[in-house]
Amino acid sequence: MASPLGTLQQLALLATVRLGESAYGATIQSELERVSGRQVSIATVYVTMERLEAQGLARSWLGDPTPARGGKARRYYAVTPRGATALLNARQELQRAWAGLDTDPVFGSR
Amino acid sequence: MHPPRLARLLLLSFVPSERRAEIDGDLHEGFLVRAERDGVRSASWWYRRQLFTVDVLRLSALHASSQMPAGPGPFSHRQERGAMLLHDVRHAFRSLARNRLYPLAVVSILGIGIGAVTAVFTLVNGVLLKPLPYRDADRLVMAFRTVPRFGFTRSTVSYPDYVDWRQVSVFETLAAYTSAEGTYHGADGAETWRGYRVTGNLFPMLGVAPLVGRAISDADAEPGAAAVVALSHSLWQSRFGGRADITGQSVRLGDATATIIGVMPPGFAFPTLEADFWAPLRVGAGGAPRDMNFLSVLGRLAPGATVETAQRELAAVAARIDREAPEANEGYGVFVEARRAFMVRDARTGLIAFQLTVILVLALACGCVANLMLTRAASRRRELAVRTALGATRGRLLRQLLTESVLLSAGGGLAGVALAYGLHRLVLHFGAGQLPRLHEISIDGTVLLLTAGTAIVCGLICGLAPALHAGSEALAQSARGEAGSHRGRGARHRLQDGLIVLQFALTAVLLIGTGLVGASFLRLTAVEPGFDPAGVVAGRLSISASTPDALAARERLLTALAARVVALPGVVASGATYSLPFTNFGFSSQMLPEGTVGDVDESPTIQGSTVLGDYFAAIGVPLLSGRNLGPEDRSDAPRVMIVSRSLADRFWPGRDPLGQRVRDGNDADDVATVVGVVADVHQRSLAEPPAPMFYVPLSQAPWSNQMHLVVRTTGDPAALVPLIRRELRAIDPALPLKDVTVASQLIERTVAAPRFRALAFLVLGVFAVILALAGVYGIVSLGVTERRREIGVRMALGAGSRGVIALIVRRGVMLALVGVVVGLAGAVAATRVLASFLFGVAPHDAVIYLGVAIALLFVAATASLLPARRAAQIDPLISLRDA
Repeated sequence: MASPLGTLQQLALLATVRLGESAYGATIQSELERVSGRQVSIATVYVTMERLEAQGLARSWLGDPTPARGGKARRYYAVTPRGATALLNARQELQRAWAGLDTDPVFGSR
Repeated sequence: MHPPRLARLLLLSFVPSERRAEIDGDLHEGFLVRAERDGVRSASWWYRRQLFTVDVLRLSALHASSQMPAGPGPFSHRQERGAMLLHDVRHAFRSLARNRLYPLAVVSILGIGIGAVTAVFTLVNGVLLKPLPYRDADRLVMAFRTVPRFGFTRSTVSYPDYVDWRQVSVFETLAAYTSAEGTYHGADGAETWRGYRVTGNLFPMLGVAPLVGRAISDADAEPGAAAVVALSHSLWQSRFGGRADITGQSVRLGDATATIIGVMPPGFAFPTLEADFWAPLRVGAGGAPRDMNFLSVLGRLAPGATVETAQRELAAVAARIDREAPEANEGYGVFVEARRAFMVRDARTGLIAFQLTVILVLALACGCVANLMLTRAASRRRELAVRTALGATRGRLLRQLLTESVLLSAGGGLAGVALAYGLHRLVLHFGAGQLPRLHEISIDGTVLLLTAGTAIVCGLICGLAPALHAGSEALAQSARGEAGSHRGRGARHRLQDGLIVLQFALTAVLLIGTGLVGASFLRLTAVEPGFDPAGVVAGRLSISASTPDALAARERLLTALAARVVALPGVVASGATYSLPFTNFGFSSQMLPEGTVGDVDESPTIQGSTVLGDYFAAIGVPLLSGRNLGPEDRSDAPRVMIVSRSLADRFWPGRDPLGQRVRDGNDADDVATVVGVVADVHQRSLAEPPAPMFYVPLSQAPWSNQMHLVVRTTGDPAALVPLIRRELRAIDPALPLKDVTVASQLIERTVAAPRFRALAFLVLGVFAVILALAGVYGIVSLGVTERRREIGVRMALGAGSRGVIALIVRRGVMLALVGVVVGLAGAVAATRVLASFLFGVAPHDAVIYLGVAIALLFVAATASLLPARRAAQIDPLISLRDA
């Protein structure tokens, strides 16, 4: 199996899933900012997506140029089956790790 | 609507070409979405921020490395270029590491120049360029009333005017505010809060959300609504310990109780950072009179409207008001100005002049560095020739030399940013109260972008001439052998000489600026204020009184307070005045010496003040003749006044002013007798000459509802303040002492800006002189080394060491002389920028010009003397044999 997913990678894959057919640079950037509550630069989005692509977890293709974007094409992203598996694995891993824990050991008893 | 062009260009140049189009499109789209939602300015800032992340570099790295193995055998053109760049950088590092002093000198010289430019640009950006932190801030404008016959250009307006102005369609919203003071009665005595009463539409228009609770709304301004107040973040912290359950608390402000409804976020500075609270502006059922002008008006222009259209439409309304209610204004105009321009109007000229000055310094630094680089190129002739012989093309050598100089200037840029951060902290520390929007200033993306650009441009400018030159020289050498280099050497000499001339010219301009600003500062601080500030402390008391009983009570209170304070240890005198020098309190009156015939309308307007007790002794203004005002000058006693010497000289030249009578310009029956003459006082600032003044007793001028208690002590005036407060509490626990100041600070505040200018110029001037010294020394030294043989021949032919020294020194001094002459001419034009900051010295002061010229020639002679003495010690035999 490939190396475990980083948080940003998970968030980016989830954003791609959620956005479905309209997952491309600008929308993924907004979605990441919405979910994480932080500023995410466009370069960060592309670095993350390209690493995912290199690992075979996402794929991308160029759309048609749109006039609203100064005539530039969009690069659309989608999650590959392998990416979906990796996401589910990551979720299960976390769930296993949390199982049976309530929050007291984490935050201390009050 | 377009994304910021420079940021786009930079971003796209960093982004790998494989992803350029889609990233460009994504950013374009993101920009449009944000421009729609948050406004164009905010979107532009967002766009620029996209550049400042390591991931931009990571992205290019990702593409560069992922392609490497895929390449089919020989490297692509692009990869080869990348490899060469890497090689050049490594080579530059190695070659710079060989000689530590040279890179250190270049980096620090450029660092100081770039740092100064960056530090000042931080101010220019934060104060002049950055949008105000409000929604659609570029559409916010101030609207003023003008009264041309009084010379009022930015006057407040009356409530009926404001209501009429609201009808004008160019404004999407028109809000108004006025300052207010509230006396807060806390556990440890009374204190004054400064705040603003605002119309309900002001906060929604600014679009700043409160941190806690809510802000003032339209409903709060309705007649009969509950009294409410919103607090500033700093007041919430300092007075209520930032407690979470602040909303709903009630607070007693003066006679009224108000409910706290919210807290504004930290840094919310409308209209200034000093605002403690905001309360709704309410006008009684009967409205406010049209001649009561107390409102500042701030509006947001409708989309598409400009300051000019607003000015035009508002002027039409004003003309109508003037026709319908002529008595209120008698000639009435309007003036519309962008809020930002209004806020920074006083700082603008100074900041721009300062920015130009440091750019001059940076040019100087670049000139000096270019010279250093030329010298270094000369010493690397052999290395370059060898590399040419080994097959390096001219372009390749050029690129290598430029890499080196850009690398050095990048180092200079980093050093500059570090310096700018240090200077920035100093400015925040010392600039309080001197600059608008100070808390908004920061070294942000725009500043860093400019710094990076400056560093690169400096690197190219400094490096280009030496690189081009060294390239051609190396070629010539390798082609024709050592002898061929003489032509190249001549060209280099001309270039280096030109740079020295330029350096001296710029230094001369800068030093003349230093001289003018420094002389202004010295002359300003040498001005006698007319009073003696040492050991004096003052504080303001607001007591309004309208009935005869209240007037008498006020006088009793102040008299009793003065008497109790005088009994404190160390206190020698105590009194009170309305117009404390160097504050804005003052009034004026039209008056005439009795018996003068002439048009009353043209009677002169004289500045006046009311005094009580031993005010003149307390502030340290000598009584020149006659008597002080005293308890015998009661409200029902004959009216008396004390005049300043300049007023006496003006009204009764050559005559004894005592016993003379003065009549009010508007009321022939209102006559006062002069009982004393005091010395002149600078009432407003040291720079303005003392105005003629008259002083009347408080008992005979009952409208003075603001009085400054003035106390003189032989000890530390600041230590006296708690004792004074204790005495005040004993008489009236509900009365706060406001604006407590030590008198020396009053003066200090007015000379702080000139002092800062003088200091800044001095530091820059010293830097320039050091560079000039180093520049001349370097070039003359090099000259001596290159002319060893010639000097040897001269000495062999009988030239004495004095002759040789004179020969060498003459070259340095001649270069300086040419530079100084050019510089003096430049200064005649350039110092005009400084004219508005000068005091007591003309921009073309001959002594300063001459002094600078002599000083710089002296610097050049000194710097040449050392290498000249070395030349004089040359042994002709050895130099001829070696050469």
